[in-house]
Amino acid sequence: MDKVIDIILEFVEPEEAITPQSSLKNDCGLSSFDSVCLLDRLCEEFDKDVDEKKLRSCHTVADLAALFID
Amino acid sequence: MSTKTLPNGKTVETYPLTQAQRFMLFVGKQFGKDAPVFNIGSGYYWKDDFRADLLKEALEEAIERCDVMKLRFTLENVNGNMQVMQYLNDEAEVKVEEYDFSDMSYDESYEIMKGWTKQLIPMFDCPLNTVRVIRLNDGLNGMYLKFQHLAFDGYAAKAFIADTMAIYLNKKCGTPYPKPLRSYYDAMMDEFAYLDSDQRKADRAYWMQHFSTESEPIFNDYLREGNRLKKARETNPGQRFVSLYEGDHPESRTLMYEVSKEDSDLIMDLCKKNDLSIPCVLMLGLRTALSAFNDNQEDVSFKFMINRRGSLLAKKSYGNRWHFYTLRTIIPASLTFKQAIEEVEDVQSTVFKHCNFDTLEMYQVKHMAMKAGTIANTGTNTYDSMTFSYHAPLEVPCESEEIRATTRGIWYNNDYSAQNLYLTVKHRANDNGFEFIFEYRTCENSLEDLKVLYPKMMDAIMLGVKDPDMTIGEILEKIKL
Repeated sequence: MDKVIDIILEFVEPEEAITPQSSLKNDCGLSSFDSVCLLDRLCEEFDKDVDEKKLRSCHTVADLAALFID
Repeated sequence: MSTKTLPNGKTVETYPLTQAQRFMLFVGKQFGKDAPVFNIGSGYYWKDDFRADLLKEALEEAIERCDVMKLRFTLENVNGNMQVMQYLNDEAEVKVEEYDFSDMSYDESYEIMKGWTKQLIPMFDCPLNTVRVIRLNDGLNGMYLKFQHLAFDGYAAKAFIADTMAIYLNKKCGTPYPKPLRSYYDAMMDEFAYLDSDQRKADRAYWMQHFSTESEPIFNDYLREGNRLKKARETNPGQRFVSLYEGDHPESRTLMYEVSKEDSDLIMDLCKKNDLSIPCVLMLGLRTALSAFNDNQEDVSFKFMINRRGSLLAKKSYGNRWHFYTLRTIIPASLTFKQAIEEVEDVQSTVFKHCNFDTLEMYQVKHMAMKAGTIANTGTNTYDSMTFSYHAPLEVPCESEEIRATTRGIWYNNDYSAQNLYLTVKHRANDNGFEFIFEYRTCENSLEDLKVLYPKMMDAIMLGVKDPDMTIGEILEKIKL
């Protein structure tokens, strides 16, 4: 989870600390474009392929991390 | 990379244009003739106990912090061809001048600054941008900025304003100084690294596969009376594209509409509560209006601007990073408004995934991949009648909410456009409500027709926002012409 949060911080500078419950859009401030770039970066980091359409069901940092962390 | 010795004897490292810059240069030269289509003029004004001296200092510091102010273009002989290259000068050499228009009407000062915006910017081996402190009448004061579009896009222009305001408020009120910016050189190197990457090969393969297997799109005109596809079909009944830009007359005007604060908030609240994308709601409204104009066509395409700024490096290094791709959605009448937004989001995400690929090269791939008898291999045949651009809100620091309510962000149109019809949606500086700006070429567009597009688009959006379970078919029925 820490690694996912560190990678999110390559894309945005939110005012509040990011937690697993943080909303990707409203709390982290990720735009749709940011999210697609972030997903690509996570795929590279975790060496995993994830379809970008799965982003639509990711609302929180924990939702996103669950795509990569068993 | 190569080196060049400047007239002052200094030797600099020069680099090719990035893909986004090459596309901008191509479109400007191809469709803009010698008109000032690369000029972006903007103003940012507010009412406070204005300190012109501090704003001037803030602008000078913002210029110093900003690599792109040092950017220069130059012509260079590369393997026997003259090419536009770029380099970073040691100094910005942008002088901040002050102008006092407080004794004239707002309209008079607007015309003066619009005149500044229309003056061609010399392109080679000289500063590209203009920065001025402005006093207007009625207590409004602030800054006028004129940027060269190969150096700054609209996002970069607003980021420069936000940086300047943060520095101004630091000097005036002691608020925190803004964080450092990122290096334009590093961002440029990132762009060049992509050109040799496996990702570029994968993106090219994706677009080749996409264009060779998708069905032929269809042109949806925003003109009702002079529908250009219907006219083309009088001689070629099966035709699905049209040729735009005939005549090459870049003179343009703008039509501007303001969405009320209440309606703007309704749209943004729906997005916030449902984690939906604001531009996708707006683009759904646009495609629904275009559908209504074309016998409720389910298959609608238009170009959209992609502000390719994901990483902090890309966000904080300014420059021009915009690519333009087609957004094609096929949405049956049975889908609800909310389902249709999700469909637009899915298509948008797929385009985003492959959008670092050069826009110009994407068109070459498209021409190669599409079947014979579809679009011909020319730059003027298209399935996209217009272009859409959304400028997300970028918070500009302000001393107080009372002062924010007085703030005005102005776009000085230069009256020339390289695009046929370009819709920009942005947020007002004072209350975050939406502004719709239609920049249209006067030679091809009927003002009467254009005046119908916005109300239909907004009707479609508001019907869906108020009842996201309403189907697209029901919305089309309610907005029918």
